[in-house]
Amino acid sequence: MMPPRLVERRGLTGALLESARADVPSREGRERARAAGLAAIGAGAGASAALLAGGAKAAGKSALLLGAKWVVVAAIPISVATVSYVALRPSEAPLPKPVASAAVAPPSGSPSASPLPDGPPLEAAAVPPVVAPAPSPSTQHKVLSLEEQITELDAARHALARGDVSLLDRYLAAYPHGAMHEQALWLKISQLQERGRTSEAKARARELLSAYPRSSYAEKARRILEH
Amino acid sequence: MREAVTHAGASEPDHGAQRTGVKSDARDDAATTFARLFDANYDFVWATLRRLGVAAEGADDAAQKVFLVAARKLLDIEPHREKAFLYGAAMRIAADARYSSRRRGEIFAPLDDAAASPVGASPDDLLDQKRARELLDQILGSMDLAERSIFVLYEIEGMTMAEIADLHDIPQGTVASRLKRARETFERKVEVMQRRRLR
Repeated sequence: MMPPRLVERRGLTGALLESARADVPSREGRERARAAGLAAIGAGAGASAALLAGGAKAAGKSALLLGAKWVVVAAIPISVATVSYVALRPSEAPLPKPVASAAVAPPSGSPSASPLPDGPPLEAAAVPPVVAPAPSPSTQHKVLSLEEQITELDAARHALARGDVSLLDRYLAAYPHGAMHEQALWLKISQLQERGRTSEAKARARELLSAYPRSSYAEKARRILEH
Repeated sequence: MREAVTHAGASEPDHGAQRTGVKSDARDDAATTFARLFDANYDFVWATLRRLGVAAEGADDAAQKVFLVAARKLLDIEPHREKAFLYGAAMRIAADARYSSRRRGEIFAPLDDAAASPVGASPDDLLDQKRARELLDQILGSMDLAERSIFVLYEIEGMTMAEIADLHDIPQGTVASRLKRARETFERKVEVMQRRRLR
């Protein structure tokens, strides 16, 4: 026989337990999580970028970039035999040759899913490295994995919040074909706009439209150019 | 996704546009499955994370992580075990969040050491929902995790012992004994809180 629940009891015990019922998730958080999960299944830059753009109003850029990180990393093993690097950069421009698409899939015949995976839940152990464009000797940067690029951009975003734009500029310069370049570019445009540097923002908006004509940010970029 | 492709296209040639269509169908199926899973369980996952010690401001991100784990492993989740899967993932992510909070010094102090919290709080304060939740979190945070998780599922989520046993994959008798201990612990801590109020 089940004991009567304490929440039905009068007094402090019942009041404390009752208080939990009013603790409910926000609609914004729910929508963001839903979009992130669906984007992970859809496994494309459009989805992750849409998430990045669409949720910005509600959740703030900080949380979104973190969200995008999870989306992108989670999307990798789920993608339908699509090389994540290509999917993450829907540009018309030529892309570096992808690396080992098979590496993104978990081993076949794996046992039933465990919600308690070894190590952090979404570590990008199987993330293929992203090949940076051929650098000149003076500007040579090491090849970064997708996870590392996301981390770099995340660091750039944190620095930006402190008013330091150097990390973002460094990322943009170092990885013009990087997996997160599209997002970084949009971040740069936003930063320039916030600082009232309209002409530079427009120049960057043109750059984004040229490199990523089908970007989720394209419409916003066009609006910037119209003003 | 690889399995979905295999299932959907088992008797079809695996090439060309046909293959693309199969992939697309498989992705649509996965999206539908995920949406159903999400809609049925998001509130539960979010509340579980909160009651397992994730701060309100971190709960949305933590819940998102849980569902991204689910999205990643969607095709491996056993039928009718979806909730158990999500609960397990939530337990792990909540543990990570608690660890991070502890490192940042944000963890609630155990109730017995938290002399300041309830003292001086007026009855009105205690009736305040936010304050009550803080106190609830404080008490739950001072409880043994194994007992707390069962206590929360029974007392707050309103689950039956059979459901809890299924979720934890333990015998109902174990659930009953842990719940009994957890209730005793909870009530004892509430008494401590009340005594401090009256001091």
